[in-house]
Amino acid sequence: MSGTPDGESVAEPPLSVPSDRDRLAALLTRASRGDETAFGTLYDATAPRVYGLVLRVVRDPAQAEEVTQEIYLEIWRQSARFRPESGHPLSWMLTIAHRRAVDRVRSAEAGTRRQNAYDATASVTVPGDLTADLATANLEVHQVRRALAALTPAQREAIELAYYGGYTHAEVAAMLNLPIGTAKTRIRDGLIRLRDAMGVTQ
Amino acid sequence: MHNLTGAYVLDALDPSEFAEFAAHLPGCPDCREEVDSFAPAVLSLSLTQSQRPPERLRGAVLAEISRVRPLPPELTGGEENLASAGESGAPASAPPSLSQTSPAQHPSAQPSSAPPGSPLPPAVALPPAQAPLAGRLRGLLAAAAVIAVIGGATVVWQQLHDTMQERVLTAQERVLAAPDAARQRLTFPGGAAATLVRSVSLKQAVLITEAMPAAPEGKVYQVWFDVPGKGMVRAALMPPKSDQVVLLHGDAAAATGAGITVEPAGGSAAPTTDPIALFDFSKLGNA
Repeated sequence: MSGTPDGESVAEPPLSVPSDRDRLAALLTRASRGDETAFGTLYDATAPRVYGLVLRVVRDPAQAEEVTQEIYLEIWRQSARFRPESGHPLSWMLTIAHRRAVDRVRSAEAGTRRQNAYDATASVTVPGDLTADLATANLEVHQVRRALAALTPAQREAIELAYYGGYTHAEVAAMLNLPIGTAKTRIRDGLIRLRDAMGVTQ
Repeated sequence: MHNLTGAYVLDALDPSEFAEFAAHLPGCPDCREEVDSFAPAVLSLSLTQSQRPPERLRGAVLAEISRVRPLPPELTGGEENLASAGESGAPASAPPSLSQTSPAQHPSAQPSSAPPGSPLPPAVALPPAQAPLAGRLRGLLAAAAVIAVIGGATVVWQQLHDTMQERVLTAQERVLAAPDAARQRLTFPGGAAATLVRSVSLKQAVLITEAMPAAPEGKVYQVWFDVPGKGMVRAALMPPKSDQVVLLHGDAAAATGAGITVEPAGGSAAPTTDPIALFDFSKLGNA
């Protein structure tokens, strides 16, 4: 098995979102009964989504790997708690993933290191952007990009700092020199616009 | 409150706001509907970030899960829900020492904008019951109380669980909400305070600081666990901000105390100065 270097892996075609809903839910159900093979299949189907998001938030490939491992352990343990009627399995998994990633960057040690990373990379492309470009061929990504284009630059900036940066809305407001309370409104307005744009494209 | 929906689904609330909003959500159909409606949009934000992880991660994940039993399904109306909710935060096999030994500290890259200050004089312990709580902390504790104290705790938790789309609490919030959370608050001359909250069952502890002056330029506050047989073990570096809720790394159940020292930026392997605050875990209270 030839491992690829940390964080420099080639992009994988993103998982198809709606069509895989039932399949992922079935895999989670089997995992909840202790089926490790099913969990391996679930991992294969979702790992680029989970790891990609975590890497975007924590930035450091070694930490991203560590956090992703914790996330899959939590998904395994919680698999019986997923309820198909409450949402998309991938939403459920990525909610766990994002919270873990944010926990990590907001904890003390990572805080110091990430601040350094933020200072150092303020004008440098982060790995996720490369992947995003490589993945544009995918139709779904194309649709999402079109929906994202509906955001105003200010909305996109606030959403990206919050979701990819792991900053609280108050921190986002401070970073963008906005009055307190403005960032949360901007984030909400952006999500409403993104939601509505996606509704149109689907 | 209603315009927090967006920040909520992006995990962009601070712990006290999160606790407040999570308490608000079950009773507000409008917010619930809006939160649910954002799910596909949030999903789309990660779609463009896909990246294949290193090959070795798959083997590591599968090896780890083979040693851990999946939790049972939640039985509605059951008594165990609250306990399992707390338990979910601490994967038994996550090595607590990993982040302590993480490589690549960059002392030289410490944010240079940190204002100069002077080290705090040693703290004075107050009995937990007398310690006034700052608003930020009060919000957190109130939310914990919502979960822990109300008679129908299981019902409340179940409602939160339903409306939060299986959302998990942050590690910090789980510690603060743990039924066995015990705390000690130390105050410093000048009004700063530090509160340590430990849950033995979760084996985790959280340090909450209020109005802490910045560490002197080129220095950082470092938190240590006092572990019998090991001495002072690194538990966290405090971010250069005054009000923090920080999860400490390491097995808090094995420690008998914790301390805060002022160290060179990037932290030290062992304390190099006398502690400005010492927490004695035998004196933690439930206030």
